[in-house]
Amino acid sequence: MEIISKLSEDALKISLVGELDANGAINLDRIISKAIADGYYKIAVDCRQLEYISSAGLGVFISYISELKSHNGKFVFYHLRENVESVFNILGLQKVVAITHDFTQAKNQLHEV
Amino acid sequence: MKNPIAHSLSLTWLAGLITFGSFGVLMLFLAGCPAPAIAPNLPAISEAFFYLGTFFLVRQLFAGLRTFHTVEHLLQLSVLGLLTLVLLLLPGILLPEASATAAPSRWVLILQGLQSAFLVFYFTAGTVMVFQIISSQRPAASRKALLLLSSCLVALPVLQAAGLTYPLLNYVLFAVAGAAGLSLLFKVDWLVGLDKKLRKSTLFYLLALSFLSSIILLKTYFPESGYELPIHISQSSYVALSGFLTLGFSLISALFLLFHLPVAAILDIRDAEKKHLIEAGLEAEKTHDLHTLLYTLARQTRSSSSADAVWLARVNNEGPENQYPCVEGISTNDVKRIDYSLHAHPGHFQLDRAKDFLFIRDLDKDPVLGSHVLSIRSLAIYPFTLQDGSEWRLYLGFESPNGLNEHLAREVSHFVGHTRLSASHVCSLQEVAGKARLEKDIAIGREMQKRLLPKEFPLSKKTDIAAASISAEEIGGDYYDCHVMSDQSIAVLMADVSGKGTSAALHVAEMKGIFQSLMLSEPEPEKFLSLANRAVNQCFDKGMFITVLYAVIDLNKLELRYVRGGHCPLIHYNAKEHKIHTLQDDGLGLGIINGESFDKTLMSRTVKLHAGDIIVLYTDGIVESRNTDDFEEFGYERLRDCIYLNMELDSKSLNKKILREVQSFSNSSIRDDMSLMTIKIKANGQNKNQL
Repeated sequence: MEIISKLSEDALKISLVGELDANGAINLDRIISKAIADGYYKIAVDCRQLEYISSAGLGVFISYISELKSHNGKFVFYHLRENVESVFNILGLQKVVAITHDFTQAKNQLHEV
Repeated sequence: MKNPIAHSLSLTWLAGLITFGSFGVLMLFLAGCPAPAIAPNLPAISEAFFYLGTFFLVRQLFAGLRTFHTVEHLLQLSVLGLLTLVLLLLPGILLPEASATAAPSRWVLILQGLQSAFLVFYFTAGTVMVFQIISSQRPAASRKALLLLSSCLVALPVLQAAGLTYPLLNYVLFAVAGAAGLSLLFKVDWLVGLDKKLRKSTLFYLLALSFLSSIILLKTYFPESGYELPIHISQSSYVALSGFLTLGFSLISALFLLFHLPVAAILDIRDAEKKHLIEAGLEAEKTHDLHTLLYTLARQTRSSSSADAVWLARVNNEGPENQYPCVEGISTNDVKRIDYSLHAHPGHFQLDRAKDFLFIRDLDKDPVLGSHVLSIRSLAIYPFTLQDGSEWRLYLGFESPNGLNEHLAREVSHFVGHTRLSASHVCSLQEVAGKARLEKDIAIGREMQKRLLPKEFPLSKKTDIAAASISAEEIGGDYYDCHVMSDQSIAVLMADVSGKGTSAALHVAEMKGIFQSLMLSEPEPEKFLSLANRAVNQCFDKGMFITVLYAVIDLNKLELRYVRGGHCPLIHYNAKEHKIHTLQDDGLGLGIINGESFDKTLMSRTVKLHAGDIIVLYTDGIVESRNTDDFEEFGYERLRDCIYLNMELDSKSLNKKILREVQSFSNSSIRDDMSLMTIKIKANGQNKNQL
C-alpha cells in the first residue's frame, strides 16, 4: 500500500506500507508513472512502515532513476528498516539513489541537485 | 378403439354385460317369476344378493383392469346407459296401452328382468367409476367417505333382506351414505389435471351421462302409467343412492369442466410458454461457450415472448458505450440511443425493488425515450450480473405499446435467472480452464528453469563442488553455473533475475547464453561483469535487473578472485584462521545503470585460499526466508552458523543441511527460490599441511 502526499510544486512523498511484492509493484509503477507525468521529479520515499521489498518492487524504482535524473530529479529513501536497508546496500542501490536517515534530511537531499 | 388396452377394456365390459344380462334373466326364472317380476314378491334375500352380487362383480371388473382410462370408461358407461335407457323405453314402444294391465307375458317378464339387471348394473358401474376416479386422484383424502359409502351400500340391502327394517336405522344409514356421497360429488380436481386433448371428449361423455342418468331416473321414478318397473326404486335405497351418485357426479363434473374450459385454455398457453423456456434453458445448458449461451438466451426469449426486437448489452459502468454481442430486429443506432438515454437518466429508469426487470409501456409517451423516433413502442429490460462481475442487460422490444403481459414478463425473468446461473457455471469452467493453463505454464517454466541449471559439477581432486535449489510456488529467477577453464581454474557464478514467473525463467535462459560465452571469452571478473551489464541493459526491459556473484578459483595459486554485482555476499570459511567471512564489497546489480558509470562500481577482490576452505554462494531466497510466527528473517548470521557447525560435511550434504535448516526455520513456507553452491577446497590438494 502506498500513501501519497505532495511536498512542493515538483516534489512528492510516497509512504510505503507493509510488503512491496510483485503485485504491489504494479500499483507502485502506476503511481510513479503518473507522478512523473504530472511533473513531480523529486520523490521522497518514506520506508518507515515498509517491511519487505521484493526485487520487482526495487525494479520499479530502478526503472525511473534515469528519467528522474534527466529532469534534475531523484528518489530519496528515508527511514529504512534494517532488513530493507540491507537489501538496498547489497544490490548497490545506495550508489544510484539517495538514502537518508529522516524526512528533514530527505527534503534537504531533494532540493540539492 | 385406438389401443389394445382400450380394446380389452371394451371386451371386458361386453363380457360383463352378457354375464349380467343372463344373470338377470336367470334370477327371474329362479324366482319362479310371479308377476310383476323381481319385486315385491321376490324374496328380499334374493334381491339383496342381486345388488351385492352386482356391486362386487363390477368392483371386480374394475379391479381386474391394469390401467384405468377415465375417458374410455366414461364412453363405455355412456353406452351402457344408452342400452339401459333403450330397454326402459321399449315397453312404451312395444306394449300397447291395453296390454299393460293384463297379466304380463313371458317376454315382458324377460324384458323386465333385463331392465332390472341393466338398471342396477348401470348405476353400480357409475358408482364404482366414481370410486375409481376419486381414489385414483386423491387416494388418502377420500378413503373415509368411499369406505362409508360402500359399507352403507352393502349394509342397506343386507338389512332389508334380513328383515331388519327398522325405519330409523335405515334412515340413519341412508343419511350417512347420502352425506358421504355428497362430499364425493365435489371432488373435481381430477378434471383440472386433464390433458388438453381429453378435456372436450370428457365433457361430452359427462354431459351424455348426466342426460342418460336423469332420464333413467325419471323413467324409474315416474314410470309410464300402467306399467311398473320390476325394481321399486322408491323402495330400494341401493338403487336410489347409486343412481343419484352417478347422476350427481357426472352433472357436477360436467358443469365444472364447462366453466373450467376458458381458464384451462389460458393455463395451456402458459404451460406451453413455460415448457418452451425450460427447453431453451436445457438447450442453453449444453453449451460451454459464454457467447453462444447468451446468444441462445436472447433468441429464445425473443421467440417465446413474441418480441419484435431483442438485444444484449454488456454494461460499461464508466460510460454509455456498452458492447452489443447480439442485436436483432432493431437498428444498432436505436439501441445506442436508448442506452444513452438510460445512462443519462439513471433515476428515471430505476428498477422496481420487488421485480428484477423493468417494463416501459408507451415509449412514445415516455418523457425521456419519447423524444426518439424508435421502431419499438414498449420495452422490457432484464439486468443480470455474471460470476465474473460483468454486468449485462437483456432488452426485449415490442411494436405494440403494451407488448408484454405481466405473467410472461416474470417467466422471462425466471429464464434469465436460469441462464445467468448457466453462464456463471460456464464462467467458472473457463476460470478453471484458465487456471489449468496457467499451472501448465508454470510447470513448463519450472521445467525450463531446471534444465538451465547444471546437473553435474566438475569432479576434481582439489575441489568438491555441489549446488542445490528449491523452487518456490512461483518460478523465480535463480541461476548458477560452473565452468572449468583451460588453465584448470574454475569459474563459478550465482545469479538472480528480478521478478518472478515465466518471464523471469525466460530471462534466465537469455542470460545463460551470455554468461557461458563470457566465461569462455572474458573470464576476468571485472571485464566479465562489465560486458554482462551491457548485455542486460540491452536485453532486459526497464526496471529488470540481475544480481550476479562471479568468482574464479585458481587452483594452482589457491586464490579466489571475485566480483559482486549486487548479489548476496559470498561466504568464505577460512580454514587456516578458523573464521567465517562474509565478503560484502561494493557492487551494483546488472541492468540498473549503463556503461562506464557501472564499470566504475566494479571492484574485484582476491582472497587467498587454503585446504579445507569453504566458499558458499547463495541467493537471497535463503537469507530472506522468514519464520511464519514472527516474520524474522533467516539472515546471514544463521547461515554462517550453519556452515560453521557443519563444515565437516561434503558439499552436497552441507547444501542439503543448510536447505533443511532454512525450511525448518520458515516452517516450509517458501516465498522465493532458494539456491546454493558450495565449493570445498580439498585437503589433499597442494597445501597438505593445512587442516
